[in-house]
Amino acid sequence: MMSIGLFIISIMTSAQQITKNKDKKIITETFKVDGCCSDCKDRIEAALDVKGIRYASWETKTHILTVTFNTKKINIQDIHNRIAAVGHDTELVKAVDSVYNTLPECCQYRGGSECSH
Amino acid sequence: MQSLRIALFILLLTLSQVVNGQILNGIVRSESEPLEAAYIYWKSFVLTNTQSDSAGHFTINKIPNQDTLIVTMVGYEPTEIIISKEQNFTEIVLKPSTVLKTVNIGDVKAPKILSKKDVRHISRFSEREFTKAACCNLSESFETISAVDVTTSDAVTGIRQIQMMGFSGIYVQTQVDNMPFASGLIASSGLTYIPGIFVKGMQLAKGVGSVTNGYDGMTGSLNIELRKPTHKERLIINGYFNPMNLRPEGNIVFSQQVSKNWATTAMLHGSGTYAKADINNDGFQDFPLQNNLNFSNAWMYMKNNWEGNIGVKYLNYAQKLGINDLNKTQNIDWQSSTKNERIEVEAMLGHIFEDHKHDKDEHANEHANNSMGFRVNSHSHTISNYFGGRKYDANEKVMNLKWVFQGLAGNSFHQYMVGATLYGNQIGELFSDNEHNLNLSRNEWIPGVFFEWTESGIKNLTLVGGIRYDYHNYFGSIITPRLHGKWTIDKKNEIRFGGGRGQRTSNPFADYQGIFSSGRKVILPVKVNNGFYGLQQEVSWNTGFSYIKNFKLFYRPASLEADYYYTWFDEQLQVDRDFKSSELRFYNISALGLKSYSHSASIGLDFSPAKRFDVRMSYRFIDSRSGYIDGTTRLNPLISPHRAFVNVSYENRKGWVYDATVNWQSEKRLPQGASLPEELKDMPAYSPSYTGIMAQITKKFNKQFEAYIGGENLLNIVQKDLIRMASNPSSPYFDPTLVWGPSLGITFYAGFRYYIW
Repeated sequence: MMSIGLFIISIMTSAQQITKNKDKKIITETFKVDGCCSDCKDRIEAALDVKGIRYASWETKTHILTVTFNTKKINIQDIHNRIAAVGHDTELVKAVDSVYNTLPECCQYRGGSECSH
Repeated sequence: MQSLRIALFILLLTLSQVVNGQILNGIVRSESEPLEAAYIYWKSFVLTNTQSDSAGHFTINKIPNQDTLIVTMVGYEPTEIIISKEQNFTEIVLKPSTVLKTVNIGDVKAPKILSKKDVRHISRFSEREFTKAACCNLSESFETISAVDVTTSDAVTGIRQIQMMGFSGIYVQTQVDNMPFASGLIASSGLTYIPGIFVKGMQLAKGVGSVTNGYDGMTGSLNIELRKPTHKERLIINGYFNPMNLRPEGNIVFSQQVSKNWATTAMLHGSGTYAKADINNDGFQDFPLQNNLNFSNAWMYMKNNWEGNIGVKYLNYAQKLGINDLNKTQNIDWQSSTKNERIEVEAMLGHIFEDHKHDKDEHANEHANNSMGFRVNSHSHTISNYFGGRKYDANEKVMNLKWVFQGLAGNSFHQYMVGATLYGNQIGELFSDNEHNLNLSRNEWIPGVFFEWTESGIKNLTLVGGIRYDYHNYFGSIITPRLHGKWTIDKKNEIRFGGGRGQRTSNPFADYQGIFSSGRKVILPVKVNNGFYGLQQEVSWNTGFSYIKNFKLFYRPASLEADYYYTWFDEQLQVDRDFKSSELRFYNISALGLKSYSHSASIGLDFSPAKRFDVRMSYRFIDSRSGYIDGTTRLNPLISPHRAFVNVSYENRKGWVYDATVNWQSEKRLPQGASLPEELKDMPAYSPSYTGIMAQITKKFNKQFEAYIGGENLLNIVQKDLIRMASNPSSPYFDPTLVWGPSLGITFYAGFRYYIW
């Protein structure tokens, strides 16, 4: 029992040390991305499942994206571009209509305040 | 000095901004309450944006030449507001959007979520949890959940039962879509009758439940959410096959929007086990042969503020086990069979009261939305069992009515729930063996009223206090007080606590069906003259607390959870297999001055060491003991005091999903009983500790189709002496109920799931 507890603690402390060593190039940004449902969430997060991005989470309720990434491997403009490329408008980049129109009906967030579901 | 200077500088800077009117403060609220997480930004300068906090407050920098503020929030109409140059405070009232939204429970993607809103200690599991180990019904899905232990009641029925806090699952309130399910005749076996693929999600609460759900729920509660038309899947076809025990399984789930207001979901499950095997060479079939059928159909109605539901369920499960055909050369024969058939109907109607006064009312807080619900649920369940020469037949007809009103007292900081229930139960039972020939019946009528108050006006503290009064036609008044609380220390640390009383009617024949498969002589309380067997209702108290810390590990969210619970019984039905190895005794503990209690503690860590890689580690300790007729206090049988597991799952970008669980359990006490005959003197008093490993690989070919293969019990642990005295089933020492481990060695299975969205 003790050993399991110690193991958990050692993992946590070592992980925090790693975090500290790399702090300089890994940052977290939050911004708004348009979308509406869990399908949109999957699509947005899948678009950010690339090298350099440690963690990306889009909240269905608030439409806020939290993304943690390594600035040496990817920049914020690229992140916005990747989201727009799958059809979702961000604060900086708007998705082109031709891509937006390919989204399933339930995800057509530009139509009104909220989409179906 | 340095820091003081910086602080002073910041203070001056803030002051100057306020003086210059460069900051706009405000509050966002609905008609009734402050709105959290509303998104606020300048119309043509979206980069300057903010969100409102839990009190609805926000602060935003003013931008030159910007006078239009936009506020958006899900469920409300987006609102534009003109802000004048001098203004530094504004109050924004959002109107609910006119589109009626259905609740999409399926949005939860992580397999396990601890909801921050819950006051009780509730873990929410999504369907992902039930695909980690794809077999088969819900009772087999708890390997990765530390709060629940699963045991096999006996080698004959193979019924898997849950345990919480070191006590049988009969003290856990198991509901399906918030309606009682595993109670009465299937209190101990209920989860067997829920196929995993029917399940969309599950909420597991540790400790006593809410009084709104009844006076039971003594050690914990489970609510299982079945698939509904509001979920996205239109059709699911699932096939599964285990070649080791020849177990095929098929499931179809079909949902359809029928008209504007009506939608339906139909679910069908069929499964069986057909292999005849006697690996341990004791003459007996190693696992029961089965034929199972399960069907349900629910219709949902939605219009404006009304929601209704009607549904029907049917299940038919049959199992057989005995001396294997292959071994029938001997003169001995012993066969057993269990059959369960159930038909259930239910209806529900809910209404949200429209707020008529809210327009133009300055003090709109006083007129918030209230809601009301009415539910009726009724079933007939028939059991027909025989174990050698011992027979048990039972039928129960149950009706459950519930009316509940949920209201806000002033504002959403003070909520209350008030309601009434009526439970009616008519049971008939036949029990016969060499010594007994009982024909029992009973009628239970239990009207009850309850009141629950939720107080969240106190800073950082939310309290839920509840009380209910029930009147039982045989046992009289039952008063059930309960209290739960949540203390939010800060955004990342939470402590929950709670406690209260629980009670239930015991039914030895139904609650311990499997145990009657032994050849032990059954000794019942003396006064068995009606369906209450001369037994008292069981009464327990439970109290405990839990601590949750949310933090970042490897840049991803992680959580650490620790809890402790104490449970004790004022009255309990003791099932005594220890006083004598040839006897099975039932008696109430309080009249004999005996105690029954448990201490249970656990610690768990969830984290993601890499993207799409989740790890769950958990350890739990249980010390549960009870008193016996010989005056001793023993560890409760067949419960491991220590259990630890690690569950890992990884998904790569190409749709391959890997799941593995290593589950270690310490020794369990085996209730062999005193005075064993000479030939059984070597039977162990404790089981060995053992480790179970299971692993599964799933390939998602596309959104429609996925296939999986998996293996269970990869270390090939087998309990060889599965049945005590298997050589002589007519002996009182014959006992198939001392099961501590798997009857089947290493097994493999394969299956697929096909979805239409």
